[in-house]
Formats: sequence, C-alpha cells, structure tokens
Amino acid sequence: MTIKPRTFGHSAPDALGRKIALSLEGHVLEAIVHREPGAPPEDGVPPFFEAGALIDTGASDVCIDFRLAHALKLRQIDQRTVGTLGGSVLANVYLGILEIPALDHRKLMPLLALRVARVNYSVILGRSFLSDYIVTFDGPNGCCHFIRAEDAYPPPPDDE
Amino acid sequence: MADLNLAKEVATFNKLLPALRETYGASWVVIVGDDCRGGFPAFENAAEFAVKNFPDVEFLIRHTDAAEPQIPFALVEA
Repeated sequence: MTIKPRTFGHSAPDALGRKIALSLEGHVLEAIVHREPGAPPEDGVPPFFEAGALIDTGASDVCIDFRLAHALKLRQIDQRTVGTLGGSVLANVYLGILEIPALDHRKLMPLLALRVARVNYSVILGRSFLSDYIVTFDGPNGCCHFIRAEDAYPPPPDDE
Repeated sequence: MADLNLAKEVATFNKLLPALRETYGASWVVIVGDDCRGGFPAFENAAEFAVKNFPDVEFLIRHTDAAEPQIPFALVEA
C-alpha cells in the first residue's frame, strides 16, 4: 500500500526561496478554533476564529492567545502553572474545537492559553496535535509532509 | 471575561490522584468540587460527559499522567 503524504510549503518559486522562508518563518497552517459543541449563540461572540497556526514541536500542547479564548467565550476547564525562564506563570486551559481544514482535522481539545501581552501567532500547534501525525520537516525543499497515523499504521485485520 | 478560579478542583485532583490512578489508570478525569465524576480514556469523551452533565457548573478535566506543560518560545516575550 502506498501512502501519499499531504505536503505544505512556502510559496516561493524555487527550493532555495522556500528553504529560507521555512527557516525564517517556520511552518504555518490555517486553523479554525470553534466554540464547544452545542454552545449557544451569544450576541457579540463569534462562533469561530480563523488564524495562522505555527507548528512547534517544543510545545507540549496546542496553545492559543488568551484574547482569542475570551473573544470566543471558551469554557475554562483547568489552570496550570508553567515554569519559564522568567518565573512561573499561570496558564488557563480552555475547551474548544481545533480545525485544520487542509488536513481534514477537527477535534475537541484542551487549549492552553498564556496571558502574554503580544504574540506572533494566535495558535501554536504543539505535540498534543502533532501526535496524531507523522510529520516530516523537509528543510531543503522548504515544506512539511503530514501522514495521519491511522493511515500509516492501519489496524490489524479482525481475526477470522 | 473573568478567569475562573479552579483551585478547589485542582486541590481535589491532587488529593485524589493516587486513587484516581488506581481506579482509572491513565485517563482523563472530570472533577467537580470535592468529587471525581468519571474517568475516560479519551479527552473528547471526558469533555462531552462533563458538558452534558454539568453544563452550568465549574469542572476540571485533567489527565492522571499530566506533566507540567512546556510552552513554546514563540509565546515568551523578549
């Protein structure tokens, strides 16, 4: 069986341009964060938020800007203390649906939100998301390849 | 939007953790006040259970093997 990975890269016309872009900017996928299933509509509260999401294997979780969590009125389901070089900070964990359209990915997940004044990306795709995929970081060609884990490791056939 | 204070639920989780591991193993557990209301192998199951049964109550969902989160450098201000 041949498995065709889904490949995403920068838009530069040549491999060197894509390589440099990937090196400088990292890899970003379009993401949509939705409110929890069945969340009642509220005036002034959008049902979802679209943002560029940076792939980051150094993050344990999917992280979002706390302003995004507040704007969507996501439900808070935990609070964690996170150690940083500058000392401990409190991070809230919210309940939301993470959708990555390019991967047909849509999943109810815990979303970690740190209260920082300025962020470069509103969504960070950490290992709690990446663990569903085999991801190949192709630096020379400036792209990333994704294979869904269940496609790479199909379940064994049922015993007769 | 004000942040919730889930200190009570966190304290319950920490207090019950040995028993939760014994009862549920590696699972996502739902804590309401002083009680654990269930353990689930998948986060989605725990979340759906909690939202359905405690829609208007504060609850905590955490994995029994949860380690301290590692945050991305992209979120750390210079």
